[in-house]
Amino acid sequence: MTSQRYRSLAKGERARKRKGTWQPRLLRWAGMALIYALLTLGALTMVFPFYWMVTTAFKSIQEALMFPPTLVPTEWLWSNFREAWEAAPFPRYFANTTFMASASTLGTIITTVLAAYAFARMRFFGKTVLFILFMATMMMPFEVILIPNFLIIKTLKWYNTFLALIVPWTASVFGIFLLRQFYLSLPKELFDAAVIDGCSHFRFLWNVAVPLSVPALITVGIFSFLGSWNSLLWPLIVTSNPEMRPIQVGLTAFQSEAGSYYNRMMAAATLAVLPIVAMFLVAQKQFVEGIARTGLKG
Amino acid sequence: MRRLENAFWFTFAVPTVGIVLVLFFAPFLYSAFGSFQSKSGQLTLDNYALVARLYTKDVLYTVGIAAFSLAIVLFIGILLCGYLRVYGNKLVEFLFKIPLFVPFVVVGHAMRVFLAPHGILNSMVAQIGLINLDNPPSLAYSWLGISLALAWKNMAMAVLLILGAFRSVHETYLEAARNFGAGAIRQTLDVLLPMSASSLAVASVLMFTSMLASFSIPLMIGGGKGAQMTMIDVYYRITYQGDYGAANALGVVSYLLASGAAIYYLRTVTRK
Repeated sequence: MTSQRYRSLAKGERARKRKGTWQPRLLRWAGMALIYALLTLGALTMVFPFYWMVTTAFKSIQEALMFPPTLVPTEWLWSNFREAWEAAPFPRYFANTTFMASASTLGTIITTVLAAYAFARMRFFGKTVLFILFMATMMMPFEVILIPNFLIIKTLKWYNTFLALIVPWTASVFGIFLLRQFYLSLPKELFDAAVIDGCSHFRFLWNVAVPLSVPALITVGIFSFLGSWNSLLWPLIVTSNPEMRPIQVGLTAFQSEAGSYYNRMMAAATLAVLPIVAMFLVAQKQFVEGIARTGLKG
Repeated sequence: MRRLENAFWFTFAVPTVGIVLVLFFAPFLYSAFGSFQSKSGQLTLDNYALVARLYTKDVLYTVGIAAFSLAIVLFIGILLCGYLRVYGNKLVEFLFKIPLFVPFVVVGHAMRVFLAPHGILNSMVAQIGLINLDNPPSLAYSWLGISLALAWKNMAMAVLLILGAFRSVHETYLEAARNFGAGAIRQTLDVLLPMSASSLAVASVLMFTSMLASFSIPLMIGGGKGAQMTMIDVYYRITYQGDYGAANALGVVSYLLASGAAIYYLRTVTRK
């Protein structure tokens, strides 16, 4: 009798549980379905220009100019890549861009480390004012300083040289800001202990601060490399010699030289994007960690 | 000795300081000074009077577009990054970073194809019978098209910065919230957002100023008629009219707008 009563109680409990849980579970599933639907929509929107670039690279020119556009090429023309490669001096553009981006990234990392450390750990006259001036330049629309900058480059006789393409990008105020925030977050005790052990500023920077800031340095490096690789307006203004031009300028020149051949232009753009996608995939973990560790805190 | 070492280190920072002062600050001063000069070289306020007369609407239009794009970016960015911080999804995270790699030339063309009157968006909407393709609305060549394109281009940066800020919040806070039954949205709005407020403010200022100064996207997506973004005005003023004084004045106004938004940012940055 007792066991029958317990069985009946347990049955009732199970039924109550079932009745009590199916509604929240359904709501949870509906919520998850909505989240996945929104994420898919967002991801498709994000991917669209990249997808459009890659698929247009395979289309014929008639199909590339068709409205409404086709989402998948009716015929996959691999020859567009060869034709794009041969239509303009792309090997030269690639070499120029790689050299320009690598040199400016290396320069940026060196100057950023030194300046960020100075702003975070040094005490010198006018430090705050100088830092405010630095930060103020971050708000400066580039077009505002374009013409005076061009005149300075002309005066220095750097027109049509790699110096004009590299030197102005070897200082990154954003990078200095990011790294300064990281150096400020290092415990003061770490520095004091190093000083007691006879460590100079340089030893501390080289042996302690720089190894600890590798993710932040990779972040600065990737930002600098991406900025340099994708730069268009500045190289267009400070170079006129095709031998000096980087890949992004090459893309526009290709458009004007070969008419509106979007398919070949997108083939060239796809080739141009591949190295930076590969680089980002390799360094992605460090890159995200770098942003998270500096935290971009004010 | 320490003072000597500091002076020594200051000399190491001099190249950076030099580059910033010579290639950023001096040109800006040159521009600012040029905005007070007439074509004959006399000091005048005529350029600003011209800007007030011809471009007030454009300045408001630019601020409106930048603010609207920023609102879109922040709304999507905060919810998305909250989801990514709580649940994690590497594929979605990577897909939202794709705009970082896509060149502006490609973004411009792709957005035109997507938003044009007979573009992909309208074609898809027409398939479900919401619009008639004989007389289609066009998002391209409008303020909404520019806003959407700017939001798209800035989304990757927003995801990086917001997710970075969210990831710097310690897991124990989220665990505590979860123990009290908080879901992903509650964790985002009640824990992650307040704890990352200053980082988000800095990220917002950076994105807002970059949107104010955007050039390539408004040039390719915007229509040639009606109000324009100020950088387009600067470009036309220089290219077609050779009027550097008015162009400089417009540039200075843009800078002041950006700086106005950045007061909070500068104050927080220099507090430490």
